[in-house]
Amino acid sequence: MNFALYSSEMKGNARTIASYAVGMLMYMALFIWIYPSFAGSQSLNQLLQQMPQGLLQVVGYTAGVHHIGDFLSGEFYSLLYLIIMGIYAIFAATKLVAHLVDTGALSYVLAMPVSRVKIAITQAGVLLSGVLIIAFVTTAGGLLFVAWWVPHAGMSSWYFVQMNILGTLLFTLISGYCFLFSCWLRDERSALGLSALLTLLFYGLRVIGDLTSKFSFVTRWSVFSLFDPQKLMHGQGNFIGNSLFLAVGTLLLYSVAIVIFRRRQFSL
Amino acid sequence: MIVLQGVTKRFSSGRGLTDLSFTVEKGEVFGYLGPNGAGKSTTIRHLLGFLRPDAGSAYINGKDCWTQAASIHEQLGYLPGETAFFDTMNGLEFLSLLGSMRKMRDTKRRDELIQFFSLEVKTPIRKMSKGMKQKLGLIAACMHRPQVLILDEPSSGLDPLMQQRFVALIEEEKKRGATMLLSSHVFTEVERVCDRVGILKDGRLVTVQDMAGLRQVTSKIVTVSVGSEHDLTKLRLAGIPIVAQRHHEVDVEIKGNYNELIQVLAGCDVHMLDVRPRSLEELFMHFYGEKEVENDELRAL
Repeated sequence: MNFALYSSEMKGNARTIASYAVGMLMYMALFIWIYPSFAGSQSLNQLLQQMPQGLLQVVGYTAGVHHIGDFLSGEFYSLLYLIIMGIYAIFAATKLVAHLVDTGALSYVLAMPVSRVKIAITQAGVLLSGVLIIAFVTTAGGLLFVAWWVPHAGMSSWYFVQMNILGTLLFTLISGYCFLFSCWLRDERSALGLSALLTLLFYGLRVIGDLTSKFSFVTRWSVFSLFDPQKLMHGQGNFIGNSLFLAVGTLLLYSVAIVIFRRRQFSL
Repeated sequence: MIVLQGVTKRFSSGRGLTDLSFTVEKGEVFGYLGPNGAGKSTTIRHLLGFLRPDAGSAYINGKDCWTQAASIHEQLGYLPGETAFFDTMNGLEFLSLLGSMRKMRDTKRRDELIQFFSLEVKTPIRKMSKGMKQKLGLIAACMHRPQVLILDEPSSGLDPLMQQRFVALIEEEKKRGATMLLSSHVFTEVERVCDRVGILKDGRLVTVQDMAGLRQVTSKIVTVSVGSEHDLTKLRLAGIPIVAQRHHEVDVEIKGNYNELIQVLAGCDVHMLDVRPRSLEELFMHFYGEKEVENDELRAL
């Protein structure tokens, strides 16, 4: 890690990271704020009961809505959270390497007396820091807003934190393959395209698997299957196993990306 | 100081470098000339350790350019041919970033250079003109007093005044003892500052010449407009080769024999006089043509 480059990159990305974090916080606040108006009514659960099971899995409401944890995991963590974190991971990973290769600005960095491995580790560090900061702000904001506005809504803070840890690890893994593409592919467009395509494919596989029992096996091929917010909010789901799997996967992907960056030939 | 030994590189486009070997001695200023696409930047990318040769090796200070790049870069200043920076920064932030990546504490030389080029360093880089970016790049390349400077098309984008400054900078760096490789596709750009010149075409080194030798073999074209036909006859009689004629205006070719021309012209009614150097293409044809002839002779044997 080169700290001069790290702090400069973090400074350069601060505004982006902050806006994603603030966006997350605002959505989170909005959902927690509107929760009391749902909490009193049985009609939501009745409506959910009438929906087919597959669709419920897609929208993340297998367990119904009995407390704010169900509501947040179903409404926020099953879609919006994934979209915002996904977009951040894809764009930030592309910007940190492929964009610099495309514009040629990387030539100045590579001409410094800093090894390529250190440069790659630094850029990876910036990407991971962004994911962690956004995830941390979201978690802390969620806990804070719930404690503040709906303190008696019956949410387990520990399960909420578990759900967030697994969500964060899911996106360190996703950022890992985006970073790998960014280090590997020739230009920004292909890196961005492939990262987005693979993420959409993973998401699509989960949706298909959830919708039809005939294809439920395809869910296993999707990284999104390792993150089931509703189950996690009920203390179910393999938290430790899945966390370990995602953490090891993240480490592997980043290591491969760094090796690729070290060996790559640059026409800068 | 800078050594290339049989460096060969093939790209899928068919372009690349073929068995490229030359040496730049310590303290020498080496001009690296060639038309666009000849392989100048590719050579430089090998020296910087961005590309790995398919065959052969490149060394700077005895260190291998591919495997020991980071260590070489401690004593290397580099100006890329494409001026691309981190657009979100201003000039000073950019220089500070590079300075701290180099763990450079002394900013005296950097500040001197900023003054020397009168660059408004607080301007955001995305708002800088091409010339300003070029100055910024030159400051970045020289601010740590490197032993070796590799400058890819250094004076492109600079106005005539700044080109003068650039020449002064190169002379200063040379006095300091820096070894330099300057690439260009314009002969006049390197003519004033280089000790030796290498000419590249299609990834092959056509020739390496010292500047004095090159001046002797390279002719200049002098365009003279005279008052009468009589004056033209004087030129002809003096044996000065006329390569083109437009009424009373002629182009004559001069190869070191300036005195001869001046003496003849002293007796003429000169309306206009213009000297232009041979273009790189003409210069290049001179050497390339020669080589072709040699090859043909060899084939005939």
